[in-house]
Amino acid sequence: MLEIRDLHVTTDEKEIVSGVSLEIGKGLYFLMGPNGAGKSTLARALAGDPSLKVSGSIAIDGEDITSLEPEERFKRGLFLGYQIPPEIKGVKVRTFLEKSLKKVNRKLDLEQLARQVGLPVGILERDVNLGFSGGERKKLETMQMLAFKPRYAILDEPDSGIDIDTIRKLGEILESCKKECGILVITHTGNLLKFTKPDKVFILADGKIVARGDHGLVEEIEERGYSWAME
Amino acid sequence: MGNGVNWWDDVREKAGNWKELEMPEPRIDLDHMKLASNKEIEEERKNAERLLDNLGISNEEKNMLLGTTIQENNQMIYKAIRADLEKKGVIVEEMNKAVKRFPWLKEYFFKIFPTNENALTAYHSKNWDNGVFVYAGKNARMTAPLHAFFLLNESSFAQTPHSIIIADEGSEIHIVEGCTAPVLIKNSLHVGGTEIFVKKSAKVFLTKLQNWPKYVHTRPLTYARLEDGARLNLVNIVLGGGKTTMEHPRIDINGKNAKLDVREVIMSKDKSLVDLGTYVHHNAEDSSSQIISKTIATDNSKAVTRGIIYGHKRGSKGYFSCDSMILGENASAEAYPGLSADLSDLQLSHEASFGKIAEKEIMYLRSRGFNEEEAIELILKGFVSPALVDVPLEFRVEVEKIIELAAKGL
Repeated sequence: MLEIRDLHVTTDEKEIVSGVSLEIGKGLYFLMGPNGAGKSTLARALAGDPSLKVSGSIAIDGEDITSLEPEERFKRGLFLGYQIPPEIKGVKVRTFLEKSLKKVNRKLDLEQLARQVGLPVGILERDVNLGFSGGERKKLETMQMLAFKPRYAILDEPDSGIDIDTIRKLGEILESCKKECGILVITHTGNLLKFTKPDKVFILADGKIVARGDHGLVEEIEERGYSWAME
Repeated sequence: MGNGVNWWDDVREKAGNWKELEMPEPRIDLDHMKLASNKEIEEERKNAERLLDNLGISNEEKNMLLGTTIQENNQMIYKAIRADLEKKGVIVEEMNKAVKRFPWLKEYFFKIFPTNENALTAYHSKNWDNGVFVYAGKNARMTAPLHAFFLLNESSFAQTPHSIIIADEGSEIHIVEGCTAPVLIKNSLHVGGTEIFVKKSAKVFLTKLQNWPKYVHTRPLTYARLEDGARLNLVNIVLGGGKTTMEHPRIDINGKNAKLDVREVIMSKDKSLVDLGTYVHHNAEDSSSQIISKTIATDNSKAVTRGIIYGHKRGSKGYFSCDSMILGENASAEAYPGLSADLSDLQLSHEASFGKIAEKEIMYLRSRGFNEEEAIELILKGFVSPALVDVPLEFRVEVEKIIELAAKGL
């Protein structure tokens, strides 16, 4: 269980997340909410971004990780898939992945993994995210989730800006991964619903969870908008 | 000319009084350069030892670099290597001997080196002593890197060595000059001169590694000339050290379709000042040049990258990029990648960037299991990597290691 208790997150003196409590077990979870609700900040806080001030608690399978460094959280099985992962010039995707896989004592056939998410194998010899299309960046994040086999994965808008074939592939990957790990997908739309269904849906607005439900809630939101959920 | 019995001394006569010539900034007092004190050398020896240990260099090589062993055996081996090279058409010789052995060298000796351009060139011309001579005969090919430093050890310690590299028509040669560890020279001044002649369709790959002791002011004076279809790849790596390092090579591209590729890596540290710049003249049509410079300024150091690509002829193509990373509160960097064109039918472009390591990139790597130090190392290695593509692997590994050490603040 990934347990978040009364989490407050402040950045630049401004409170962005105001007392969020969530429990993520095995399965698929959606976190939705209007722009500026604090979804990405919450994700970064869970990953341990040192530029954020955090109070409350985060625990993985009973271990409190609130004060752990990002790399320690990663080693304990927490994975963050970035909405906009940064470019790292001069560092090849292959070098980066091989080195980080070593951190969790894994060795994998990266070519095969690239094909699995629909990336050309040649991408392994390119600089990390440099000159990547939006879709390629998302696919590289998804590929990393598969590579690291985390216990809990937070995916920040993995479905935005990608074509329908890629959404289908992502849906299929989530559908198969959710049996073994807990996945929290931050999303704006119900585009993934055709291919996989979340077990639970949370709505975040103004830094607070304002609604909880099943996948029906997604359809409801798509029809009526967030203002409805906030009431 | 002159009253010297030997032609190679004529240049000493020609050299003007350096006191009356302009001294390029940062100024040094050529008349009052002291020898390093024992204390300074001891301190530097300790630093060098620590560095060599960190680099994992063998004891034998370490002792040689630190000048603690006399390597009679090695000298024999190097002599044999040089004899073997000569059979293949490549001459490697100390300059003091080369001028005596090869009278034809007169045609190249100080021919593109402007003796009275300024105080430094005049000082060098007056006082030149030894240096390295490398000649690749017509169509000779030596693709394995030639380590001039090891082959002619004694000449590397001279204060004012004059080196000449000639690649004759159709030849190809790879040379490594210097080494990653600081050489414990006694002089606090080093004013070396280098002339590089790349003839028709010849290729020269020159990697220069410089890591000077803290007490040294160094002013390498480098000049090169390229003929038709010639290619010169110059990698200049300045690894910290030195009180002041200033090098402004001038390269004349005099041949059609000739190509110049310059890569620079500067790691400035402590209180050092490093000022590196390449001045390229496109004197022939359809010639091209590229300068890629990567600077990491640490501690209280200052790093300046500059230079100008001059397009004098139709179809000249030039690209100049300077990227600087500033680590440490008191470090600073400046970049002046200049372009100059005499006509419109050419393509010149430049770019420069400054920054510190992006927090976002560090966080990204940390969330993939790297600790902060490892993340910074990886980012720095990536940053300089475009400048290291042509560097022979063993040196590339050492250079990367030195960057890692810098990331750790060692």
